Amino acid sequence: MIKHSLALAATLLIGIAAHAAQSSCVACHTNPARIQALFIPPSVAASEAEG
Amino acid sequence: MGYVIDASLTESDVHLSQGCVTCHSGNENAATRDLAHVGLVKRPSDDTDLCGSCHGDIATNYSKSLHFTTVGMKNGVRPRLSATDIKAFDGKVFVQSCNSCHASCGDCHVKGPTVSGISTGLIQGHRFVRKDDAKTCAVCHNGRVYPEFTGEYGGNADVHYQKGMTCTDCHKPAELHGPEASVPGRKALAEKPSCVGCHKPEAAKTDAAKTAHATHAGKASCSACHSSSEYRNCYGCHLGAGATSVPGLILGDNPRKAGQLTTLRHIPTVRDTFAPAGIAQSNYDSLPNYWDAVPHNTKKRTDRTRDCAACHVAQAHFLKESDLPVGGSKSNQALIFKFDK
Repeated sequence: MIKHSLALAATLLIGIAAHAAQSSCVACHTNPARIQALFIPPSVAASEAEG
Repeated sequence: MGYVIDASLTESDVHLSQGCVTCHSGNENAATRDLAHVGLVKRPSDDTDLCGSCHGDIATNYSKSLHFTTVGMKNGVRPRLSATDIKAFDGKVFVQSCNSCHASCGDCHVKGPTVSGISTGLIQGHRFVRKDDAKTCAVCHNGRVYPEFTGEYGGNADVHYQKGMTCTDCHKPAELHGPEASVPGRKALAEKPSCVGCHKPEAAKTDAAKTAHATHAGKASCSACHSSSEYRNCYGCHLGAGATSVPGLILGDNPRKAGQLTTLRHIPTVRDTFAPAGIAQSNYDSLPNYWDAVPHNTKKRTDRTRDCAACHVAQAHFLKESDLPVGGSKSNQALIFKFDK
């Protein structure tokens, strides 16, 4: 029982540490579905090509 | 896709291992997008000192380079302007319009540049790449040079493209990053591509080619004979309204090297181009309506290399009086090539 509790606590601590290590930047910007959901297409004014 | 980062780079790329906020600011601990983006710096390499913290010499040169400053555009039109015009141009036109083509380090090495509000996004998931011509050079230079190079414009593709070469095979970092001292325009660069850097005239395979090269040395540019098809010429630009374009292959006297036959490209500046900004171009006639150009549609064999009469009898593609734009610059007359010069 004690061993089981210790194992569970260790797992939770590792999970929390892992979550804290990943910034919110990386969490969003490595998730294609999330980025696609948040993307707002720019409005583009028609003009001749440049260069 | 867009701003999706390759997750593996957070461990493997030295730039990303510093953490996103090192360059982009913002708040990496925020729970929502809006809070995370407070104070966000979208284009951190607009400050060349940032990249310069590790890439010192390159960044120092680049901060003075033509891609970063775009002063070549300003200097190109400046002779047409009075002192009063110049002040107005620098403040109202250059900063808002020309300088929008300014390229940061990131525009070539991280994320495709934005043109007219559209970007191809991160080049390789935010990997810092040495080059990716198709996603960088091709995006900004997609009006003239690149589609002419690939044949997409409708003429012949350049033989170098067909052989698998890309922009940076000829345009080296020394040219793109810029020299130590700033230059007024790209023609003044010491480090720029030269056909004879690879193609020695005396190494031509046939006696006819050797003779042609020897005969025309200094009298005709390489592109005068080897530009293979029509390229884009722009006309009638007005601030805020753009220009129109027409294909053409135009041969004339080089405005920057009198007496040399070369390919000319019509430029769209007209007398009232900057009128919406109150700029009169008091010295409009000081520059012609054509510049010497190197259309990137090179071929070994063209109508001119096959038959001397194409130029010396028919004067095919030669600029004529009747071709000159109505109301155009008085300097255009000097570009009509005369063989007895």
